[in-house]
Amino acid sequence: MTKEEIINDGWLEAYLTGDVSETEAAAIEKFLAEDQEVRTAYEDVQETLTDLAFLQQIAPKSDVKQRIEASVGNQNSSSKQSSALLTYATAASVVLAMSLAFTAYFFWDKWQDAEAKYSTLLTESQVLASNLQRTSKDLEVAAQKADIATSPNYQKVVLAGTDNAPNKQAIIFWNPKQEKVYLSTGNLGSLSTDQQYQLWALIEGKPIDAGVFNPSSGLLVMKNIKQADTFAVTIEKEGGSEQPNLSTLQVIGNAS
Amino acid sequence: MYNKPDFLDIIVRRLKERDETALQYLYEHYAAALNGIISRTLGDEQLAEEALHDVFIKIWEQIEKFDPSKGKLFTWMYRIARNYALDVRRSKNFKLSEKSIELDSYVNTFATNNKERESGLKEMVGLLSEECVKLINMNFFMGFSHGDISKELAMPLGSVKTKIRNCMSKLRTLMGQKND
Repeated sequence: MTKEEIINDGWLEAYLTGDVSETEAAAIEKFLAEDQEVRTAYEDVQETLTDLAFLQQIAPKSDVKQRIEASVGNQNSSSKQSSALLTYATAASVVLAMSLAFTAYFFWDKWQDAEAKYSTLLTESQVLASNLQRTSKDLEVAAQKADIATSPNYQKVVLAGTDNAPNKQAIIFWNPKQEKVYLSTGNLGSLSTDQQYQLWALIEGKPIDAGVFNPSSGLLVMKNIKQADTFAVTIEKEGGSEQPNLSTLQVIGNAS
Repeated sequence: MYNKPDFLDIIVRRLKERDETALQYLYEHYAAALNGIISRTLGDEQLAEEALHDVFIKIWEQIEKFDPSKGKLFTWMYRIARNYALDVRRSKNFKLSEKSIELDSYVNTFATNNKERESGLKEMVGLLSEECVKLINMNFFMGFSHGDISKELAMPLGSVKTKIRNCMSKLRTLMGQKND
């Protein structure tokens, strides 16, 4: 069955009255689920039949409604045992209360829906805003990294792990002309709050403080360094030390 | 796309929560339309009203089975009414009572007892071919399947399907013009 056959050859009309085999129904339902044109065509058929059914209506006698209400009422609850005791006036007030309750419920329900939708939307927009903020920050960091990493003026110095931390690594980007030093903290782990990492530039073995830092996902701006043949990272007390504690040496690498 | 909630969605929800006032709403709005189908299928006013009662009890009892993704609420109620009327027609009691459907009284015209709509309807029927009126009435209002019609009118099954489709399209166009 093709889409055109379903629409033009009367399959939707047959489906409406149930005048199709199970296989045919399944094929038609697949199109209804997946194809907007078939769906619209079926809605049109349904509407035409509905309009026609209203045009050809035949009003039933009024007691049918009462018989339905009686059948449903008997089924619906046993809480109506005292109904015989209700006077006409209280019955009327019950009807009024029910219709008020229905109206109240109707609006309460709508209000709840609106409230829930509003709160969902609010949360969504907050999440989106914070995602956007984080993304633009990531993008800025990435752009900065890319600039520095690809610039011919920057020298890349890989600091490799020492015996203290054989698997650790960090990377320095150094522009000796501008004396700028950036640090990518790599996989250096976090420390206790009273400790910090400290970067050292060594000129012929003499250490110069290049700044303290904590592990970070971005590139850190370190102190300016004019001259260095080696960069090294140690663990020091919070705020850093004047002289490196080499027993805590983590990573080290030679500037070319 | 966000669909605004339909009043009928709320009626369905209230029915599921066993609110009898929701069933009353359905009865007030749809009983006459469904009765038109049941009456034409059974050809007997009294039997039709008994069936109408049973159909509304079915709607009440089976509302959980209504799946809005498969069609509109009226279509679902229409199917229940059509199938139930056909069940009654096939039943022993119906056959014993020697009821016969007065084909001619319904088949060649769109009849209504709704005075307000009647004048517009007559205009429209005039524009629709007699064959279309007959096919639509037999198929949708009197319980004839495409196969039944094919036998009754000695018309190939494929033609029955296509003609009914074309008649419904034509009817839709006419109704659209009337509503504009």
